[in-house]
Amino acid sequence: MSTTQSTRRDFLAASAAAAASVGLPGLAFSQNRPAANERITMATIGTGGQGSGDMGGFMSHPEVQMVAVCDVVPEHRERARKSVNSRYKNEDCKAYSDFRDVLARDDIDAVLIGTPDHWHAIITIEACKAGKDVYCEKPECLTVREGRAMVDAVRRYGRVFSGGSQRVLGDYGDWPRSIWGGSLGTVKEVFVDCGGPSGDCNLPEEKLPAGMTPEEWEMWLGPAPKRPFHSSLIKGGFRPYRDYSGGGMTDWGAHRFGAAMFATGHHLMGPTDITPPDGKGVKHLTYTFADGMKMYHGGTGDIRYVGTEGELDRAHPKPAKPAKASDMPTYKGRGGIFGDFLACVKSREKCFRDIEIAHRACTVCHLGNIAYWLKRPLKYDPIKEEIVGDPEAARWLDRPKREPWSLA
Amino acid sequence: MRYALSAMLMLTAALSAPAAPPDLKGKTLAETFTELLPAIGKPDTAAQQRWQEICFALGAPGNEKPRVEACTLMAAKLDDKTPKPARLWLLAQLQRIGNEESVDAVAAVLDDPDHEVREAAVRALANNASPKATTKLTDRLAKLTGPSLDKGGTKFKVGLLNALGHRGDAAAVGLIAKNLNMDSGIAEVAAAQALGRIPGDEALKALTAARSIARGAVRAAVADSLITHGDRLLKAGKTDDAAAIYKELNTKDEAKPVRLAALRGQIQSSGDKAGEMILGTLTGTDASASAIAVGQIENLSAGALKTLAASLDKLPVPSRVSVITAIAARGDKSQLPIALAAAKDADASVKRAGVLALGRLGDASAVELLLDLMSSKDAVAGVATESLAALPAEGVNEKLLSVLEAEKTPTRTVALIGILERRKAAIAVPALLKAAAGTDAGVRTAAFSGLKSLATPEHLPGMIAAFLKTEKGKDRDPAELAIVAVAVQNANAEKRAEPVLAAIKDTAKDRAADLFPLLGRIGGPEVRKVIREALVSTDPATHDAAIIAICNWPDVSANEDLLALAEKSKVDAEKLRSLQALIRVNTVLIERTPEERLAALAVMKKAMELASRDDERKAILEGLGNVRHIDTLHFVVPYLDQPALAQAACKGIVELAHSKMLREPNKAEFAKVLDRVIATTKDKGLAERAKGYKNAP
Repeated sequence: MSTTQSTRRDFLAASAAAAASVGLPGLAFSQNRPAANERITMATIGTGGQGSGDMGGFMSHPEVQMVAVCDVVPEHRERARKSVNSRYKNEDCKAYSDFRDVLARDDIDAVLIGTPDHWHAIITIEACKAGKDVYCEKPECLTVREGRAMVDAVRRYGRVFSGGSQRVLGDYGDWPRSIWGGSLGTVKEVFVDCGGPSGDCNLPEEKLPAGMTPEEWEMWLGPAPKRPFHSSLIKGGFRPYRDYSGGGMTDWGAHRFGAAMFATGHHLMGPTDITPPDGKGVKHLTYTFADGMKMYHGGTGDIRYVGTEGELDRAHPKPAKPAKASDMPTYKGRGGIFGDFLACVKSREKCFRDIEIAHRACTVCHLGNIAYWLKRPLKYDPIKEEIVGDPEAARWLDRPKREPWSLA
Repeated sequence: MRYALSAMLMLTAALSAPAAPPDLKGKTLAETFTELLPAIGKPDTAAQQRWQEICFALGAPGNEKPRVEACTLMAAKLDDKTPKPARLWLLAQLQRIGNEESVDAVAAVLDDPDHEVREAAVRALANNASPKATTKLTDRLAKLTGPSLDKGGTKFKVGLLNALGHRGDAAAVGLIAKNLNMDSGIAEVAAAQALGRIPGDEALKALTAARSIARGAVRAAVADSLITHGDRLLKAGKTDDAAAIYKELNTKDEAKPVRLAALRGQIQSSGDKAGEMILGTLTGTDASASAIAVGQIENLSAGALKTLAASLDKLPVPSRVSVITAIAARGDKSQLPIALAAAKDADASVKRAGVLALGRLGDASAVELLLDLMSSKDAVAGVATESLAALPAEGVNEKLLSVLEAEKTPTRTVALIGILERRKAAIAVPALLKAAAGTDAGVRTAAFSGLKSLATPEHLPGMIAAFLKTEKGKDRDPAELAIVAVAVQNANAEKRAEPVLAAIKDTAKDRAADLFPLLGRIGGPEVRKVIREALVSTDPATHDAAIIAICNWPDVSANEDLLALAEKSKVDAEKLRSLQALIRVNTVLIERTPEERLAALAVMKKAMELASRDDERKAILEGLGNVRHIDTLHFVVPYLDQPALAQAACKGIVELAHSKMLREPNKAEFAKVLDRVIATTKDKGLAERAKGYKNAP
């Protein structure tokens, strides 16, 4: 690390104290940017649709300086580089095709990970090892074991992590606050609607697009099994396929199951039973928690809460019983989930979508997928994070990765 | 996967009730497999999906015998007589359900000349519960030695090491450790990482020995694995053993992230002495280390926290701020004295941190102090307001309400109402109704804002009574919006306007007209009848109010009335207003069926004919961007040729192109039109969007 870089990062860490917990009030909306050595330097890894959208969101915060972009798809990479340079009116942003080159830079404080899901865990863990804070798009992991390994890495290296589920608070307005304030009494049932599980990928082979090398395609696949190129995979069409994603269950499920678990105070827990629909008595995939709450996959296009003293959904957006004040956690700083992350980078607090919370939300999605795939009920120990009494189902909690990648 | 755990779970499974075997439709497993195998790995995936479902079902507890049979059948087809795609697919199934029975056959594939097939076999063995899989992997690894390994061989070696790490089987430690001392680069890194994933003393010893000679990336991997062992020991309660590892690694010889991770471990393993350790770090010069130390405060023991709190004043200001913030994040109410003391500190940053901490740790007793700060000219006034809004304790709402009821100053009253609104303090509704009927317009507006969030339909009569105290052009609009927001809480849309209709009956005629615009915002069939009557009233005030009401209409159900007004009214202002209302309700972005979109388009075509000014024509063209139908595009495109309207047409077209559902099936047509937009628009951002939609996959 050069002396200059060391000084800059140390200055940032020191100034964090002065800004602790308040996210440099007023800064996010100020026209005056902080001095260069007071900014949080960031890199975006994965600059497709979601990654570049998030990147724009972060760049709208004046305390952020985006200094690098990385993508294996040359078109995405170049578009992102131009976007950053256009924003700052210079040519300073560097573009990379290998995330390891980004992580090797000592002058980067935090990374935004917007890659397909099968890369989230490895890049997060490597970023933590390199001393970077991490904002990672949802679903934050592809398997339960990946999620736990991410929690361990974040904690081990003392990093700040935020998952990218802005909808938990953003989409559902006052619902979590209302439920935390007791407006529904005890929530007994939650209906969560989102897409279904992913499956096998049998897309035919296509030619690599002009400008993309076989090595870049190899890097796109990374830890996933080798397969020939297909253009839809690099254009956001990877979600239906199990090797890269958990499908709609983890895509919108990471938002909505996460929102339901947070609103009902189950965000640091897990279910004990997962029962898939059986065409008979069980209509929806059903999660049962240790306290008896049932959470169903299904419903009316969103989330519906049924409590002992009322219901809450789009048709009944205001519960009959008023809510009391509660100590519900919320964003720190200003500017939604991006502001929350930036404030925590400075204060070293845990983010609203901390890795443990993200992991627990994703775990529910993954367990649902396993039950759907195997078409049988599962028993789960949410403390040990093990599927109990079904060793072949338990194998789905993890997946060996293709060389040279591993979850270490 | 952990072998020991798998063995335990298998035992549990054996005790479980047998699962129903898959339905083979009268055939044996062998017959079914033989029938499906030729189609496996082919583009038509029906056969492999069928076999996969059988495999998934056979993995269920109680199906052990047929599972063994299925895996044996698949294992027998792994040789190179089977086409490669099918071999890869069978290996994937064996990765999921294969056990002892398939180990030999999968291990034989480890010598296959095709790297892709070998690699798939490595993963299949990595996931196999049989201890024999470890033996096979280590046997193969033992053959891969020496500097003669080519690139592919090294990669394969990494795969084998990763597989052994994935298995976490201590039986592999000896051979992995040998690999740690050979070669250089990625294989050594993989060996170090694998040893980190295998619990136990033997792996720890191998890593400790390697640390003294490892350099560069290998050293970093060794250090990371050692910390992993430390964390595992700490979790298992072997605190001293863990602490020894952390101490060893928190030296200047290690990379900064490793040092910081070790420091974190030292603090976590120090029990009550962690307070002193944090204090020592915070008084040092390493800002990154301070940040790590602060991050550990959340989980400190009570004893360690006591030590830290006792010496808080001795810390430099930035560190005090960090510590106060971290203590607040713990949410431990017993630390309230720290927050109270800080909130009165002479230093502005410490004071600010204290006031914020009060928002997390405070109770009703903190309300007075926060209110005083909120009303002061102190720099923390705004932060005090935030803390009052956040204060989670019981009794705070009651305390704030009593202050509100006694408050005489409009400015403070408005601030208090704002806080109660943010706190969702429903108990404040009666006080807000009183304030909404008061004499100060600012207070009335704040009160209606609070009622909008907190009131329910039974409060509507009170809100309507207060509404009549509002003044046109001052606080009437926000009051109207608040009443509408509460009225629409009623799930029965036809009943929503009842309180307003009742109030009209009970209100003097000269004031009743004031309520008509409100009615218009709520809408509904009953309301429309009343408004229609009022529209033909000879009383000018009633007629004018009815015009406002119909132009406030929330949806397209008043299209007929609005079109009639726009066409036939003799008053230009009424024509214009009704035209604008038509544009609003027919072009707002809402979910519409294709038929509803066509209906909205038809109304807008008529509106275009009736429009006498370019302002309305432009609004129609822009608004039609939300009426997503290909006929809309056909209607808008010709306006690209009219200089006065071309820019608005560009906006409408780009908005239509924004809809992937509309754009995709009409890609070619949109491409041509978007080219025209790019050539016509003067808005660079719009041109970029047009290019983006044109080139979208």
